[in-house]
Amino acid sequence: MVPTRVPLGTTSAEAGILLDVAGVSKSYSGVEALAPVSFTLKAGEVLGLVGENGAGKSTLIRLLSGAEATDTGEIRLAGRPVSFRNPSEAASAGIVTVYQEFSLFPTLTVAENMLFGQFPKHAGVVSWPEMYKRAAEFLAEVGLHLEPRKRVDRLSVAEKQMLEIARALHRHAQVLILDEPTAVLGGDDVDTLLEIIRKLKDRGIAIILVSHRLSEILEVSDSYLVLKDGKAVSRGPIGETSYRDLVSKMVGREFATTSIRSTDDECRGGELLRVENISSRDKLRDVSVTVHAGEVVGLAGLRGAGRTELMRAILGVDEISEGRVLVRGIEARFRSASDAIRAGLGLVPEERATQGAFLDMSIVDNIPLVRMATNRESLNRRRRELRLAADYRAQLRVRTASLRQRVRSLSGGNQQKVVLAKWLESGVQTLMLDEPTRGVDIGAKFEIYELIEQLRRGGKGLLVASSELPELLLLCDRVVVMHHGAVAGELSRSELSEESIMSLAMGGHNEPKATIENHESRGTQ
Amino acid sequence: MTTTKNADLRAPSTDPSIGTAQRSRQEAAVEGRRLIPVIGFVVVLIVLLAVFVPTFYSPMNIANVARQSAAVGVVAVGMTFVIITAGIDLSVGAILAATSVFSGMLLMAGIPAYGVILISLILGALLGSMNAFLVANVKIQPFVATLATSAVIGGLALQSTNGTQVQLDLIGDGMLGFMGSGSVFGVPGPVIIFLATALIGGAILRYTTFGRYVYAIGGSQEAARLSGIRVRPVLFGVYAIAGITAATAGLMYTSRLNVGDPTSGGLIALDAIAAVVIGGTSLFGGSGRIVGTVLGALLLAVLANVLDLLGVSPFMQQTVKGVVIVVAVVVTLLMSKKSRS
Repeated sequence: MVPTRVPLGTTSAEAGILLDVAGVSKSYSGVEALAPVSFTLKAGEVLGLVGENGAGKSTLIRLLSGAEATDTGEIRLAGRPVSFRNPSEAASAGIVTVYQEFSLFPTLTVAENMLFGQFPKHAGVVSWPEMYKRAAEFLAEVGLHLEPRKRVDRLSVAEKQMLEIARALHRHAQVLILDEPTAVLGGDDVDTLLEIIRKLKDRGIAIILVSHRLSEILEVSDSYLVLKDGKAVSRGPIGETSYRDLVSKMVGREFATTSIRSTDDECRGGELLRVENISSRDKLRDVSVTVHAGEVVGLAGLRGAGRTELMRAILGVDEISEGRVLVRGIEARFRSASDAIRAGLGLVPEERATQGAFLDMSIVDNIPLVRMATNRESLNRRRRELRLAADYRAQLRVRTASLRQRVRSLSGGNQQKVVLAKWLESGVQTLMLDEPTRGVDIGAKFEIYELIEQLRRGGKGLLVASSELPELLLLCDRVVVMHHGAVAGELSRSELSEESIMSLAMGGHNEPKATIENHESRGTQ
Repeated sequence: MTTTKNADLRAPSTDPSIGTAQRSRQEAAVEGRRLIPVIGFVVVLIVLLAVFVPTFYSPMNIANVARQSAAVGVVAVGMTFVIITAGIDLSVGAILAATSVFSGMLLMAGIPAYGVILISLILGALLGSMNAFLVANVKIQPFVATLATSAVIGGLALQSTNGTQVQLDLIGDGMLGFMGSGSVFGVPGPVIIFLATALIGGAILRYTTFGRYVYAIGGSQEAARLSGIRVRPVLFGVYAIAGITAATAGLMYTSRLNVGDPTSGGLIALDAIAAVVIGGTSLFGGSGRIVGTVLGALLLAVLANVLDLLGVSPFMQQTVKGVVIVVAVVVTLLMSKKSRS
């Protein structure tokens, strides 16, 4: 808060600058998540904010929306310095954020959600006719087509998003932050949303649009800001950039990786898993993947591209409407996860706390569960399990005082090691890992990579879904890239780069790989 | 929990085989923590009794207390299984009543006692499986499912005798007689049945894979499914066990009072749940032990007995029981929070 800058702010307001972010930064326990970032936003300007996962986009949004306090720097809104203690202060000042997870009351109506906290009343009692009238009038005014009496849980995802926006406008939002708004939408809904963004722009609302889909950014934004590794690396008018330019700015990182794999250490064996043209009712379209023994196959794609759904479908948890799954060449019809696991498949789910580990059970009780279930054992031999668990603790370097400790008390990395031990103990042949290092500290991360590599050399087949591209480059023999529930392409190890994965993942930009010039970020050659 | 923290830092460099004794002591301490409140309560009660209500310690009275705890205790053992899976079974009272009536009718029809016991237990298992079907297949919440079956079963039991009791001749000394009023070396039959049920239940939870699955399902059904555990059969087993224990209590009732009584279930479901909860088992599922349940059932019985001896009115007894439940659960909660930090 430098007082001398206030007059400057006033002049910038006259120049039409609505939001002025000056040197805002954030560190978490000594680690810089966002280096000082500065940019301005005019009324009616749409800013495309892009960057890889972990580039600092979410941190920046949290600072602007008041979800977290800034370490340094200043935010000025219409020339006046502002600081927020929480999101509702930011909202009343005029900065509203619409997240992917909506903050609506699902059992209340559209009108109630919109006017929440400002219900029209007669003699202390809510006046419903008045409420619906006001809501209808406001929705018509801003040009959003929603039925005020409809319950929110009956709305489509697109309509819920519209309602979030309507609610923000009703609270006089001047700056609207949209966090990956199209990630949850289907084709036509995306066009509708882009149309809405243009309308808002005409009303003088400034918009920060966060999206992984660069084509949308290019289509609707006036300017762009690229974040990479917590720093703002590029900012400019949208006319001066291109799809390829943005991609290379986003991924143009030099990262030195201690190579996990000995080069060209091919030990590919027979086919373990073949997925042929499977579709599910709502998510997967004609997906084919094969995994061989001694091979790590990556599964890339944006959030919502269908990676998790594919793994669940293979495991027999979610229904497959078409296509088939073959295990070692034999067609399998899994009616449950239990069937699939007995056939040698396994899944380390992304949601470790609710789907992977049993948090309130001890380490020694967690580890033998899959083996017990697949072998249909009937007795729990406690001494033997304790010895086995001690072996796994040593082998996987699980850091814990006691094997009887509840898994809940372990760090994320150690919890994940317990989950992995559970599968190793079961004798799994093909292990699917969904975001195996999410919420895992960096040290444990590399231990998990090494473990995956060990499994590969031991002749297991591995299917690894990850949104961290360096992780895929490090581990995989091949990467299957998904987009909108379908396979957008498959990249061999020699074709692998962050750019090649990204352009397939974004969809529609299936450029021949040779034309991508920016190859410096190749993981291992 | 500073000791554990220190050990944490040391662990990576320590050979797992070294210091096992010290470690297992520590482990036992962590595991048993949730039992501390209920043990504390029982000890405090016993001391207070010695001072203020010495009549409590007559052998007659103690045998009486144990007998009173038996029926609730047996039902509570089955209830522990259900609650560990994050479920609840409100129908145990109705199953108890139905078994009481049904066993009475079978006896009147001249079926031998062993046959009656066997058929009654099978009936309990079937009625429990009906609960499991609603919970596991139809996917109705356990509370609602068992509330409904409770009404259905209770109604049928009442209808079958038109609301009256089935009067029996003397049951005699056989196994069935033992369940209600026999004794071995002065230990009442029902108490032996209770302890046997608890031992079997505890062994199932601890020494079988089925027991492991019960905990796993209570922790997270989804995680259990994704670990290859077949959730449905386990739930069938769990609710069948609850049904069998309720049927056992029904036989005990019939045997002791020489009647088949369609109103015998009463509020036993609530007492059983109270015993389980006082014993440190969380209604959220995933954790709990039979030892705690046994102590919980004993605590409730001792409490009722003492209040009787002190001449407290039955109305006030209810209130005191409620307060004890709240205090026990709050203390358990505080203890387990402490062990987590």
